[in-house]
Amino acid sequence: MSEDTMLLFQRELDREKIARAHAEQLLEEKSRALYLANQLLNRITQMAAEADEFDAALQRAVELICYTACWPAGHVYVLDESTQKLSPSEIWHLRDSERSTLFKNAIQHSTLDSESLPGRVFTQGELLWSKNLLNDPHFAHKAEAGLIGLIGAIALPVKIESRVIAVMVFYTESEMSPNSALVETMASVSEQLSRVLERRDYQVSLKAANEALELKVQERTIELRKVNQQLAAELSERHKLEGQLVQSEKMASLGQLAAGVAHEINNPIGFVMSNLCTLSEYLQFFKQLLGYYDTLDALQDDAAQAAILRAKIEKFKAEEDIGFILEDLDAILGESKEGVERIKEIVQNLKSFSRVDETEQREANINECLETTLKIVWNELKYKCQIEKHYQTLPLLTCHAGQLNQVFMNLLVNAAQAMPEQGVIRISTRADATFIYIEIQDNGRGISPETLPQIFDPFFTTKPVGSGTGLGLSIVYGIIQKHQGDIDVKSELGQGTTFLIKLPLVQSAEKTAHSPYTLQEASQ
Amino acid sequence: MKGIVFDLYHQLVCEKFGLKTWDALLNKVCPASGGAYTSGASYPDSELLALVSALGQQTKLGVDALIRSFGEFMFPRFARLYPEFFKPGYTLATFLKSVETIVHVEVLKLYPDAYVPKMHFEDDGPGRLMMTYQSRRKLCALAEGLLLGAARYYKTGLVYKQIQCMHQGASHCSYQLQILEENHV
Repeated sequence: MSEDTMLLFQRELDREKIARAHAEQLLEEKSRALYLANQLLNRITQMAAEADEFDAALQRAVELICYTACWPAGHVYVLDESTQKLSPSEIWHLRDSERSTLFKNAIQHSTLDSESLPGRVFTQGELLWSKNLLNDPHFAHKAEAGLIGLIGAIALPVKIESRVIAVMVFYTESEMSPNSALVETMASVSEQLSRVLERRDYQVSLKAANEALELKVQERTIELRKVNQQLAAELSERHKLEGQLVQSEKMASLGQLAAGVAHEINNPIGFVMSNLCTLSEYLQFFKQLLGYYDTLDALQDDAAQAAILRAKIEKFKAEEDIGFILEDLDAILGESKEGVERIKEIVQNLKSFSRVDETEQREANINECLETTLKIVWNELKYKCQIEKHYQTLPLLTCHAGQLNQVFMNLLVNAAQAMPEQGVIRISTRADATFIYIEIQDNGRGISPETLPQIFDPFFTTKPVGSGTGLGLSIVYGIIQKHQGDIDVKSELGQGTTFLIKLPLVQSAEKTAHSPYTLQEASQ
Repeated sequence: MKGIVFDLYHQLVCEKFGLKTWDALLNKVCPASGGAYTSGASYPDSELLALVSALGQQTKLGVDALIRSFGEFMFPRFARLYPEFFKPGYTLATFLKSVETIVHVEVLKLYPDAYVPKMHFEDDGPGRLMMTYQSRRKLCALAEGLLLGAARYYKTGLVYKQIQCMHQGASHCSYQLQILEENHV
């Protein structure tokens, strides 16, 4: 190999060595920058997650960056939301705080020049540096910075949702090199810090939103509970009112009865009273007559006086018509006895009819129940209709007879009211092995097909306001249901209406509740 | 310009003309870096241009032709160095379109201080593309060489025609590309 070639290779080798050294240096720098960036980013992520307050997070970030990069001073300008301008915050890190007091005070008490380093970072939204602040015409605190040897500066934006909300400024004791790997690191730090703070901000607002939501849920729960309580109160009030209405319907039925019954009772009472008056007059007559006879006995020795008295007696008898009185007495007593019997019967019927609230079921003959009811409501019916009875022999039925009487009364009174002219109510009963059937048929005006499905609904009435509670048939329905029976209605306008009641002879055990029925049961 | 380009130029000169020529070029140009190039670092564009122009003088080859061959030489080496940009299933056209949207984006992530040209491709009928190139370096010849290198890499025939050039005062260079059927070469 010639010497020239040797030298050629030597030069190439030298160049390779230099290139390699340069590459190693680059690698070293890049590794250090990566390490630094990694460390910073880790710490910043951790710190921002731990810090409760936004300011505290920034304070920690400034400290971390200063420690890691060995920078003597760091400071944060924050956005004043009201003026939308940057102003110096209390967030500082100073390696030598005593010596740095002048510098800190100078910055703290000045307004920010929009052309200064932090001002430009704020408007441009990206990291910028100043190689030498002492040459920067917009840096107002050269003297104070010079005193503590600050020369370069780097400023990074902190953004939330792409909006710069703070600018961090770090001061260096040497000129800030623009191509330093540190610039890249700082850019990453700024980005990471922004991201972490943004996330933190989201978390804080999420937490606040959650708390607000939680609060709202609690409020709503309380409200709901109140409404529930109110509803429960209203419901119980409604039950009470319904109970009262059911009661008032009973009272109305009884009131209706009372008028009829009063008439029925008044009549016999009237003639019994009149007879008693007559009897007391007759009694006066007999007392006087007895008195005459006593005097006559005493005059046995005085025939003349006795004769006069006897004549007087005869005259008295003739005048008072003793013959009539004696005849009349029998008649009066007979009539009175009959009147009292009638009253007794009515009262007995009333008593058997009004066993409405009997809690125990007892054996009863439905035909007799119908008869009792008919007697009670007879006064209502007698001028309006004829009654046709087609009773078949029925087995005894264990039932609340009083309640069934109310059913029959309701149906009979309704039937009578449905007949404007003289009509016919046909009552038939029959039984098979399992059921007793009671049919009450009238030839009144009938119920329209539209109204028919509603007639068992509570408060439904076609009667004028004030004359019907609209509960009659719903109570009928309730009572029949309670007896595990069925009630069916067929009606044709102008032809009449037929109610067919079907009552089971044996009720299944669990349903034979003894409590008085309620409107709810009736409306089911 | 990134050191990788200088490294590849070094390789090209040594492979095609020998170490002696490279050494002579450096002696002639005397670049500030001393010719010790490392791929991760950056060097002034002027050093490369001076080295190319010196080679032109020495070999009597035109500078543009040299730069074009340099581009063609670079491409397969790029493909070996950065396989992640050459995804399976890519054709010449899909690769070209990814240059600006993927390759240059990633380059800038790795080297934030790098300067990359703007290279835009647009469909212009079946098998045809319009390409625009814009760079302060005005290295359209390098772009042409890279295009040819890419066509060779994808075993695809490519005919290009320059419509306008920055060297003639245009704001950007533009090319009409006709991609021939694959495996046409």
